[in-house]
Amino acid sequence: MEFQFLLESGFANLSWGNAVLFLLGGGFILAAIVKGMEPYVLLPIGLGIILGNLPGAGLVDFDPTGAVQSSGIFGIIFHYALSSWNLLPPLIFLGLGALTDFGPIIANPKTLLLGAAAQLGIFVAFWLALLPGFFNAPLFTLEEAGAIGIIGGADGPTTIFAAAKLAPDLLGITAVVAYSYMASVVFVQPPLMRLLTTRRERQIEMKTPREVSKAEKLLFPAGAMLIIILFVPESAPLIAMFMVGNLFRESGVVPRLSNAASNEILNIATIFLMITIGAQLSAERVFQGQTLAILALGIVAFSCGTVGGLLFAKLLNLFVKDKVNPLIGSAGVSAVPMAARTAHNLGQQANPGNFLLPHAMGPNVAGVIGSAVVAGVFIAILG
Amino acid sequence: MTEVELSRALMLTYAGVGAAFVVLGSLIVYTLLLGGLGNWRARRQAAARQQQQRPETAAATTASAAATAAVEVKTPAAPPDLSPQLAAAIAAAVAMAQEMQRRERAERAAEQGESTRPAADSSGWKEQGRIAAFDTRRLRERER
Repeated sequence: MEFQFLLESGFANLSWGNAVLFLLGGGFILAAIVKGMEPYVLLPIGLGIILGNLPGAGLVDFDPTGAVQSSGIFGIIFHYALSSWNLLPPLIFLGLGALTDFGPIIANPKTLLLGAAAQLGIFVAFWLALLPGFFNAPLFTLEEAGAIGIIGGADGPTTIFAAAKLAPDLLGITAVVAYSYMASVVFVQPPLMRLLTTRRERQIEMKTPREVSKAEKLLFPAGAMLIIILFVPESAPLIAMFMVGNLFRESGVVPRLSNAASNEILNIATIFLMITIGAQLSAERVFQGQTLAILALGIVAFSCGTVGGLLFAKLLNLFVKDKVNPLIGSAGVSAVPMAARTAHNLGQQANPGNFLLPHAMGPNVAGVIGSAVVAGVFIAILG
Repeated sequence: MTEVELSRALMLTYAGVGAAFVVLGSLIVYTLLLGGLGNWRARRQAAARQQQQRPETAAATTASAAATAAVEVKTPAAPPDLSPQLAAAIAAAVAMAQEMQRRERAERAAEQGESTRPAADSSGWKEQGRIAAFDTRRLRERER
């Protein structure tokens, strides 16, 4: 009787699944600290994975009856800020908007098409998720397939936003998969980029983008917000916040608001979002056939998005006078700014005089818009 | 998978792909319009600036033309029916043009001195210095 507390301790309830996830969380933390791989994403997610798998701690529990002290901190954040009110993704988009420069898009608008083409991954993953259903062994519902497909947009907040509406049960795993693949852009994309482009294509030097006036930078987010929301109203929470953040930045008259959006608000939202998402990866959820399928579909989606952008850039080169370096097409898979940086680095490897970063930022930002639009369509039809 | 689900999945694909291209295509049109407006505004501003500058340039050109003409005709005497103010202005312009011409000639002569070897019989210390400088430069050029 005296030793009952020992049986209720975390050690007594530790499963092999918890141990494996501790290792996974530790791996994320090590990758962030030692390798410097996307530390703002991997470190909080890794910590969240470890915290969410502490047996008996109840940090991710949520009691809808609201009984006193019966819910854990990450359970409450998950329920109110993600699953129920879907508050954090739009806040992150506000911060991203305040950090985004639409100059490259305005200077070279045809790069917007690359952002659209890179959404190919979403549809490939969506159909692959539905494939077992054709053989009378459905693995995912239509809504779940939609939530999985959005991983192909390689946009964490959009994935969370769509999953919370389409398949709340898959929110944790889809978000972790999306963020993990976003963090591993430097490993996933380059082999595909080398495979699908010739050295000569990678060497293409693009014309320096023209200078964009302040009036254009101010009118673009305002007009784009109206156009996108009028076409796809369901994307409004993300697009409106994105453009509002950008208008704060470009107006130049509210530096405190712009700084708050791009620093304090973005950082606070990132802390809560990442740790909470990581904490959702409990052993019971992860070690299922569905989860492993989502992991596989995620990488397929991401790769197809990269291929879609690359091939469309090559296609574009058949019709335009000023050639586009096809590498920037791969940046259409959102993952801002990692995908743009990868395109830039590969371009410089082929031709040290190549400076692709400003050009790659165009499709990169277009990818953010494109994935938010597709998510809006999915929510409108399936939600 | 039921037929209803299949048709919904197909509709989703068409609508998703269509929306992505239509929305981003509309943004391209909008951006091109913005760029066009920007260019039009820049052209208008440039034209206004040019118009503002034209009277000043015209006045300067007239003065310069008058001066050149005066130099070419070797300062002719002012016609008897010319007003004294205009005659004074022309005289000033002619003097200025002559002075400019003189300076130009001097500069040209100096330049020529640097590219062709001064005459060997030049006895002045300045001329001797120029000859020495010329020879050294030519030697260096040959070595190169």
